[in-house]
Amino acid sequence: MMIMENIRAHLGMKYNLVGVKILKEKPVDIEKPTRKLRYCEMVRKAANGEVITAEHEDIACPNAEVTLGFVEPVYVDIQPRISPAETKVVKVGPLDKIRDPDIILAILNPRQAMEVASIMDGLEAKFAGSMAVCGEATAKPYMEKKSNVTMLCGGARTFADFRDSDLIVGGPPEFFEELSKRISALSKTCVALCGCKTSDLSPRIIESFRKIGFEKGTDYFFGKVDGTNVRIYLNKDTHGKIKYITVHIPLRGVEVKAKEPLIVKKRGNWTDVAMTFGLGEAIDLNTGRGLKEAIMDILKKVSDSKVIAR
Amino acid sequence: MSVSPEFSAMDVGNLSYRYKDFIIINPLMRGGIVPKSVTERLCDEGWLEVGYNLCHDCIEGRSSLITKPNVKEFLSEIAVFFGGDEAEHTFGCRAAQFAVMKTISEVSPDGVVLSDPNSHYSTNIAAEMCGLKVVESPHTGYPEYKVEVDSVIEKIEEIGNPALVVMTHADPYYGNLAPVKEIGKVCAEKEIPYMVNSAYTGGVMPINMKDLNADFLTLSAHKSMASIGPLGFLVTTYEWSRKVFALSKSKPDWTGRAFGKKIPNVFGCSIGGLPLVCAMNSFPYVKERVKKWDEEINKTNKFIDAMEDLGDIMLLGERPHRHHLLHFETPLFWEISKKHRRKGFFLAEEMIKRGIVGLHKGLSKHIKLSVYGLSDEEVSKVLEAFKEVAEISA
Repeated sequence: MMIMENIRAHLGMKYNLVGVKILKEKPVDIEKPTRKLRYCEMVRKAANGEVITAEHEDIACPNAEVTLGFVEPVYVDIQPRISPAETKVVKVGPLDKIRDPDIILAILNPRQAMEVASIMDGLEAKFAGSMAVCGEATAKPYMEKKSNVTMLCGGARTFADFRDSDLIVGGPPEFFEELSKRISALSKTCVALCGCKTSDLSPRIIESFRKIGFEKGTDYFFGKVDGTNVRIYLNKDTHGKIKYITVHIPLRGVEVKAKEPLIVKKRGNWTDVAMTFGLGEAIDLNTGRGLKEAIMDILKKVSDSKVIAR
Repeated sequence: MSVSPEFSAMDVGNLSYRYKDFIIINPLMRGGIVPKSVTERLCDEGWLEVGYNLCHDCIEGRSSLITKPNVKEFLSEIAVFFGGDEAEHTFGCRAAQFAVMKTISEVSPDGVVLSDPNSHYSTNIAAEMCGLKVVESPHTGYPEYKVEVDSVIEKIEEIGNPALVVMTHADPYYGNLAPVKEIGKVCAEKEIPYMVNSAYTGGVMPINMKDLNADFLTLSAHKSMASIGPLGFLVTTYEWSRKVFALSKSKPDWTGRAFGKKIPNVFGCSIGGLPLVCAMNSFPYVKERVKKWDEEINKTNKFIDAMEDLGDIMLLGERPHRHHLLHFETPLFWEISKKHRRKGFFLAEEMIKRGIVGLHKGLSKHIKLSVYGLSDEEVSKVLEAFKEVAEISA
């Protein structure tokens, strides 16, 4: 499955993504495990390539019987759990071997989880250190149709050999499809003309300009204001820190006169009317605060200076 | 194991070349287009039949010393043509840059390389491979992105004499010509080793590295010397050739073997094979075509004006333009792409439908192209195609 390869390659994952199918009817032929297994053990084996199909009687952990929805709790409620308890069979395996999974699990280290959070604009995590693989990573996303992060539980680390650095992100297939899509977009939209990034402008700055109608070019922004082409370049100091903002109005085939602080520069049959000013405290590029006002002020100066087109 | 003579390229997927007889406008490729007479000769004479085609009469154990055909003499001619003393062929321009960086890293371990800000990525990779830190001088920013002498001098002074100054003669982003002569003068005065990366210029325009005060000139045969690749050249002076082309001194302890003819900095023997034979065949043509550089630049500047006549299109980089690599900002095409079902891919695909290939697929806000070496008729065809595409309503 492309999704699995894409995500694993990008994150540098050691293990397969695990697909989980919760079946409310027992299939005709199922190959049962040779001994009782804990659900977290099944997941661990699936991450290493095995496909395991288990009925209630094959599950070795009483908590997982409840969280996975094989049985209702008897004395006190247990959460999270699949409810109502109608599960007959649970099938786990590498994602490419599980058709139409209900839940997908990714065994990650903290660095990989951080990258997922960054790509997905945040990850929600609710965990209590118990019933983790079955409840927090599987039942909770199954019931809520959204992802969750779990730091696992003592059982998983003791009986299923999860390492100290392992955690699990569980989620519905849509979550992982979106993750894969965003990973692909990352590699395709690196602002490349020939495979190299042409600027280090942050996504926040790009978004700030987009909000006011300016699209990123290579390392600058372009747009129109009242039908006039406007270009905005963020000048760096000699050490590469953005210090100034320059608003350009490129005009073709005309002579232009303008007063200071506007600069008029000839470039072949083009004339650039431009103004550079320090970012100061009035503009916050990361939030976009003050940006539109500053640009409009400059454009007003251009018009007040009576730019003469001959 | 016997291999069927009916072995088909289809056995490993469709390997047919989709763009035969297309007009190529990719600026990386225009200077590397191989003359038809050369491709015919290479096929007719059987040079394609074996990878080691140059090695039959190798006596001395290094490709650059072969005299049948006369690679040794050819490399001498290359050195003279570019105003240097000695040349070696390399696995592309990047390998030539690596050889320089490796040499510098031995002379100045942990040294700082001052590079122009429009350098090709391979300059940075070569430095990185050799443990050298790259510091950039600033450019002038939008819309010309020029490298100016003063900012380079300021950086040299700030660093306190770098281990190497690198200038990209024509840069791969905007096709600007860097002030290589002026900076060479400064480097000579301060005795700083100076490398000019002329991957985009050596072989299309006249260059004499002595005039530039350059210690190293790096070249790309497949970018600018009418050759197939990968192939590059490193041209240097006698002052540096003993260091950069130093022979192997290693001697493994158990066998006691030695590789005294090999040059470690060019990976021993830079084989060459078909690319080198191709470059040798194309060289007379290259020597002639550089004399027509002014004509090419006139044609290029006329083309720029005609492109900008199409609408919201503007050349980035210096004006008048002094190189064939062109970078246009093209909001005109971007506006179409926003509503087109193929999004940014429409532009390259529409051009391909019209027999023109070379625009970067997926990009419509910006395009890079070249009409170097195209006939007037072909340039008109390119312009007409852009005009038709500009009139597409999404």
